[in-house]
Amino acid sequence: MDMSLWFSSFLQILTPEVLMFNVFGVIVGVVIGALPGLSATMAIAILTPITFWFEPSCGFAMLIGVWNSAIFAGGISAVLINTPGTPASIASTFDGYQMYKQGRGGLALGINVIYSAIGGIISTLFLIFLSFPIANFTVTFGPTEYFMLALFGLTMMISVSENNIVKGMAVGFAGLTLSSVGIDPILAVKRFTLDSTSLIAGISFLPVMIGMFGIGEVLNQIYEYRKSQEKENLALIKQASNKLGRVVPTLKEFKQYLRPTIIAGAESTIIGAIPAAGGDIASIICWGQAKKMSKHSDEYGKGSAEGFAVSCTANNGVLGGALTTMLTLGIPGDAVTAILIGSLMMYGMQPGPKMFTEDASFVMQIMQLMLISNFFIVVLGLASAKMSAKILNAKPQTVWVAVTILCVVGSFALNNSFSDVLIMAVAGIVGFIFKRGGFAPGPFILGLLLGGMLESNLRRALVMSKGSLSIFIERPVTCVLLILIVLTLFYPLIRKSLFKKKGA
Amino acid sequence: MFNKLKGDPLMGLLIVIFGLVFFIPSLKLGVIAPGDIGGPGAGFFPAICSSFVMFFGAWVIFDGLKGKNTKYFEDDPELVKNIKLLFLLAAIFVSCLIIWVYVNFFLAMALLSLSFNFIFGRKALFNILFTIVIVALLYFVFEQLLYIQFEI
Amino acid sequence: MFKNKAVNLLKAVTLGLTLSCVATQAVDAAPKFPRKQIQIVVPYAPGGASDVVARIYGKELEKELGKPVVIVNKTGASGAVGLESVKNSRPDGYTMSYMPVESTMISALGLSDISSNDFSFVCRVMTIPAAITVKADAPWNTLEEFIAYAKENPEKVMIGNSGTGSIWHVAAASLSKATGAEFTYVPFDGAAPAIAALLGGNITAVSVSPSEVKANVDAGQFKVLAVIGDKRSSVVPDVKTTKEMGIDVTAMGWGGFAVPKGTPDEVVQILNDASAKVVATDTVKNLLKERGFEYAYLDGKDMDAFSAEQLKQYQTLIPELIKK
Repeated sequence: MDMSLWFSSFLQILTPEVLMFNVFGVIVGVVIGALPGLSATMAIAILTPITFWFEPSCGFAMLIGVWNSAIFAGGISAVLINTPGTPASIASTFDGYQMYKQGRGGLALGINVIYSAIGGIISTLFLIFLSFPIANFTVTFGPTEYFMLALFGLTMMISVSENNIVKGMAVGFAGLTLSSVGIDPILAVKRFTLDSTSLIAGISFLPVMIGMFGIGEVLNQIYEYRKSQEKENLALIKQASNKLGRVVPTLKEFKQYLRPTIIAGAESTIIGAIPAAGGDIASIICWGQAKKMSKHSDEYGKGSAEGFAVSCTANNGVLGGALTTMLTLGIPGDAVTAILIGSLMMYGMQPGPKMFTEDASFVMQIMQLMLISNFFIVVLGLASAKMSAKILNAKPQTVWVAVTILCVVGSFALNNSFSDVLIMAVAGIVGFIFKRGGFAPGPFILGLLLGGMLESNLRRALVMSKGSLSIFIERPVTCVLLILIVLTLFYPLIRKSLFKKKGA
Repeated sequence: MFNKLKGDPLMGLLIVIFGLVFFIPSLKLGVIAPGDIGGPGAGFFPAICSSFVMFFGAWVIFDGLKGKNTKYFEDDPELVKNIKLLFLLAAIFVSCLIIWVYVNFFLAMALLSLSFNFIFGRKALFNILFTIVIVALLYFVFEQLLYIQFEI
Repeated sequence: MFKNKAVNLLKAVTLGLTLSCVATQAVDAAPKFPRKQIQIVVPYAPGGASDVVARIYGKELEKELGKPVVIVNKTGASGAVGLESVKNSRPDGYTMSYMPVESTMISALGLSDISSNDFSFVCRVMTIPAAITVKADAPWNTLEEFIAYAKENPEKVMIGNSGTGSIWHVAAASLSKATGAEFTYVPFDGAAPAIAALLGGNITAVSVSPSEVKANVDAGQFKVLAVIGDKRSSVVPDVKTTKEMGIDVTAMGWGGFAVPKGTPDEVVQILNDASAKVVATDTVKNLLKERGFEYAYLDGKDMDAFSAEQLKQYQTLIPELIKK
């Protein structure tokens, strides 16, 4: 890397204008990301046409600010109302909301800010130093590897089944089954669509997630609310909010989270760099791996700050990976990078290997803007964390009404679709019944989310091999992933037997 | 026998039925690939998944009948009342959706907010202020700033 | 007492809002167009190529007509979901649709009964040809060599496309029909994953548009063997079209704008005239050029005829090519 060029391009973006656009982007991103149903993609799609009239550095300052902070802010609603603001923060609900319920909401918000930024920074460092090796590795991923990745994600069904694995598997496979509604990915025939055009598009995952987590939780709270204990409840809330004081983790905690979060940062960068794998699967895989490797694995999913830090690191770690593929290969890994490629083209730049020579200083500026955005996220995030925590003082009734309306709006806004609102409402009722019966919603959501990836890549691989299964063992990376999956599934057993031997 | 059919066994039965509803049409979609395209047919994946759904659904029934049943809803009179409240809220929610489709979105959301707050026993002043804030947020942020078109 | 208050308040709010609704509707009845904001439905996800074209067109149309134009994305089922919503909206010109080539293919694919005949076009903006692209280090330098190899090794050549029944799939299938070479078609979830698969060496070729592979062609990773279209592509002007090589196949995507059938003629005319100016602006032309699309303006009437012809063509072609 050319150091003098690095510094000169850094000086170019250190202007009040660029920084202002960046801060503006970060603020917009927080608002949009924290509202369930409004995704980072949508924020960027709306802002992009405006940026065509800006200088490239100003336009990108804004877009990169929005992108980073919208993903980070998805964790805020995961903590406060148990509804991930963006799909990438799905794993944040596993621990974040539990922490809030245990009266550690302030710490959860603080961890979300700090570790999201750490994830973003780790992945940007990977982007700066290792972009080409990573991209050249991940681009070789074919259908068989994607299939294995999806399978890997699905093994986490067991981890998020809470106390009853049988019930978890039952709803998990129900989610997988529902994911097949719509057009068949290979043969393009209609499946289970009941002749409805909106069902041809399939059951979208976000409305289901919003309904099951958001409305399901509200219904359950209304059901469990005892009017006779109203005073006690209010006192509890006051007490909890007074305890919120600490936002930043202690040095000891920080040290404890160091190893798992750095691993998660690296892991999520690589997953993010795989062209067709996104933030959702990255955070699920990272969280599941950290759980398996942790000394406190029983706490994961029950309000573990470590688990939460891992999922926060992972969902922002994906961004650097996605940028890696986009800049080095010119391939969009997701909707956001597709839009960013479009903006670069509007500015007359063509992402790809040539950009590193022809527009080297702009490539550096993009990397630097990633770092600066994360700096602003820490500053603004920590400053506002106490304020967000104050919102928790609200009476539960206020939260119920607000969440209900936000869920309606969020599920509609996603695709301007009224049928999504209906799907959201039904998912809410199902979520409530799941909750009453001890069925964890996590496996269901995982199944619905990963079913499409699992099925389409399995069948795509078989189209390529003319139906022969040997394609799954001929490819080395697929084999390694398969071995990893088997090891993960049996790791608890292996560890147990090892400990027994030591004991004896 | 019918007495036993509540809680987990009932839920398990529903899960098995859900599986069947998908399993039968899957077979019609074709489990084996048609013609010269490699790999299984359109019904392969849903057929496998729904058979697992039925298997685990049956397991849930079995566990429930064996005595590990979960109590879904308590007999506590205060909580039984809450169930009625939930039905009332659901009815209001549905009527508001109907108002949205046939009249106006903002009216529907305002009515939703007013009636929910009223049922939760909030003070009238709070209720009105809250509704104004919410509707203003929806109008200015969502419709004006984010260009979301709520009219269907 | 308290209940009374609440009821009165409800009444007041209902009355107020109803009145305001009635008021806006009364204004609508006045003759001049447009009197309020126009909505353009894009049947694809935000950020895609067609979405950007619609957004820029919308921005320019806003300047031209003096009323806000908003873009609404309604995705799903190759565009059927969005198109159906426009078809079912009031035919008053305030709801327009971005019309992709898929609007003439959906009915033949059996996804929905909707077709371009349910709409009146106001313009066509662009065309996008298909192309056969392989890796730069592939042993074939011309389409003839490629076809010859495919004939010797039937079904060995794997061509990626952006989905079964997509225009790029139809393009490759038409080529196969015209030359007799047998390919294996690998459908992906959009063009980008197909390109990634070619870059990673998982498939042999892609049949997507030159604009989508432009970055990789410029970087020397891919080479375009042939353009499947009427005219050469501005992205790769040196590459011959299939027509020039004596193979009679054309398959190209296009994009335009339309309103539901039944919209008053004077409204269609106003939009038609406005679109003519909008599409001719430098902003739109530059956008098309940057994105590698061919500027191909047609006015509403010509476009109605063109789409009807395409519809007829795909109605016979698609069942033949895809359902076998």
